[in-house]
Amino acid sequence: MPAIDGDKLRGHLEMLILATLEKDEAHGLEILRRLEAGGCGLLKLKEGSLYPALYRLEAAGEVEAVWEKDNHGRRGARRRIYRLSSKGGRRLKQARGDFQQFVSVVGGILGAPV
Amino acid sequence: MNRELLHCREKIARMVQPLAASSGRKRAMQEELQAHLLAIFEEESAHYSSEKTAMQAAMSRFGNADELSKQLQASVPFLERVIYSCFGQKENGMSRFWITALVVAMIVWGLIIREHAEFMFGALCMLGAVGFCHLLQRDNALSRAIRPRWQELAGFFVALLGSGMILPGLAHYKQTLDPFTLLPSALGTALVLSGLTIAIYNWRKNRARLA
Repeated sequence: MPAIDGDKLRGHLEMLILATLEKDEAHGLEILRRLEAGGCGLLKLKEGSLYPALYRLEAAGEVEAVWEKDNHGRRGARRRIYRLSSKGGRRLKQARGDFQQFVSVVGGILGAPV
Repeated sequence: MNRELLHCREKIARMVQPLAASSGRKRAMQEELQAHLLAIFEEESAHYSSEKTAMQAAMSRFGNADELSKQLQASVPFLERVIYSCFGQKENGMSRFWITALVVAMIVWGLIIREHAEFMFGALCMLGAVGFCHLLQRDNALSRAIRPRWQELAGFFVALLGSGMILPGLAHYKQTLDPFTLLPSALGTALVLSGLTIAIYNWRKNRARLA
């Protein structure tokens, strides 16, 4: 099965991030790991492009971020921990409904199993 | 390892420094992106014996620097992009000199021609705006408290500026009965309404975000 890369992901990345954060808060690398695990290795994302999406979500108030208090023995810069806000939860719920409708309509036209 | 850490910092700095954004935002972006790049470099180092190859693999995973820089710029809020394009990006000794010279000239002109106090007022507003932008660029307790609410404050000051124009315009009209003298009052009213709209809208947006 071909990988799902940047072009196909465009427009969906923010929803995927919100869905990932619904389970638990996480920093950027952990979000990527969850996306990879959830996509069974078929999601091929340039890792840096996660952060502009996170910053857009933060500006929209859909995620909140705090700097981690402890480096946990790592060297180098601190990480920010992101969590889903209530506004983000509402958007995710709406996006799920919209996507199900999209899949149902387009899948019906394509004749793909829904 | 330290050389690669430095290399990592330089790559991120080249992506982030040219952005039109506040220095606080750029600093936060840099720190966060560095942490990520360093983490994936350490993962790749386990697969490659050469640090140079590991860094190349990490950068390949991270993405194209120019493309990422464009995406980061697009993620900066619109007003901040506009303001830091004007004040933050190219600000250097020369532009500070010209802004200072313009403000001083307006103050002196206002002192010479006292009946046109708007020059003095305009100079003070410009000084206030430049000072406000400088404050937002700093990273201290006051700027961190103000930064999330800067749009509300900006709206409030625009409304305050407008309110200062309404009554003098009306008084001038009362003396001269010339309709054109109402223009400053009309402009002042527009500024008050715009400023209040901006302040209230952003206050509600911040309140919803915290809810």
